[in-house]
Amino acid sequence: MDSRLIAPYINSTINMLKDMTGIEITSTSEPQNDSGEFVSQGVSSAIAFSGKIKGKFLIDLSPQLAKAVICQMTGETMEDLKDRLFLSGISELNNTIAGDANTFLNNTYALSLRLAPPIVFSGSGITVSSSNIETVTVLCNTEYGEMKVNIGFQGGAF
Amino acid sequence: MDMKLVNPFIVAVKSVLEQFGLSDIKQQVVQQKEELIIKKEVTAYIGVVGDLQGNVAYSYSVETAKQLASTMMMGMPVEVLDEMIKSALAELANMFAGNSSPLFEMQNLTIDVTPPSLVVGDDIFFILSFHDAVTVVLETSLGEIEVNIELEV
Repeated sequence: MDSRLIAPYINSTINMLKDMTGIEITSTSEPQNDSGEFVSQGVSSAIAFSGKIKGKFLIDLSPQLAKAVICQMTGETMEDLKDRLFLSGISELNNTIAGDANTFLNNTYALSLRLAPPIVFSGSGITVSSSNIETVTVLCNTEYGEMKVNIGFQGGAF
Repeated sequence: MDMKLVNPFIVAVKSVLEQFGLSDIKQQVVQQKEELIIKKEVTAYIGVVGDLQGNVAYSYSVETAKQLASTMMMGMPVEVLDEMIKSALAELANMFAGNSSPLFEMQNLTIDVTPPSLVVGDDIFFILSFHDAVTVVLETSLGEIEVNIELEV
């Protein structure tokens, strides 16, 4: 996939996670091309968009990291991954990251991307599959656990 | 939510299913919800942007999903939801949503749909929307199809 479509999401993930929660991403992997389906670690939020190119962005957090994120955002300890307030926080994090990255892409490359609202889910053994879209995953490490960032664009370039 | 914005999605689903030979489709209930939590195991969702902004999600039990995929593939038996079957179910959602576009145009509304994704899990808590949304349940010979719609105008 065109690296110009990947870097903004990684930068926004690092910056917005730190701004909203104070949690730092200590290292990131090289983007891995996905073959087939994406397996969730426990808590995920996805957002789809369309403009001159169509795509989607998904964040996936380990339960431990998701709890740390919510604790930092709300000041409260929440243990239930199937609580609507808990998932609302994860959804808001995704909305902020994707909004920031898409604004950068629109301003820099005039892609006219418009975002649909985020969806969010949690549970165990959840898989996410796409049709006719090229996706890459970047692993982001934090002191609380791993976050996977999954970026997909139809055709993989613009 | 205004049913004028819901109906094109439902008409499109019925029309696509009829093309696959499913004719006995009954609209069971329309549920207006303050937030929309999906409980079925298989959900294909698509984002909507343009004059309307939101998501539409088509949800099934695993058994209904298998039967739908089988129907799409001319009756080929489907035992498991493997990668090919999941891709087919994502494509079915694309057909459902894509067929609603011209129906919205008749209301002078232009919508653009995003690529579909298919989410599968036995143990899943899936929130499509934290605000007003609608679920329409369609009863078919293959089982229940839930059409879950959240839209911001």
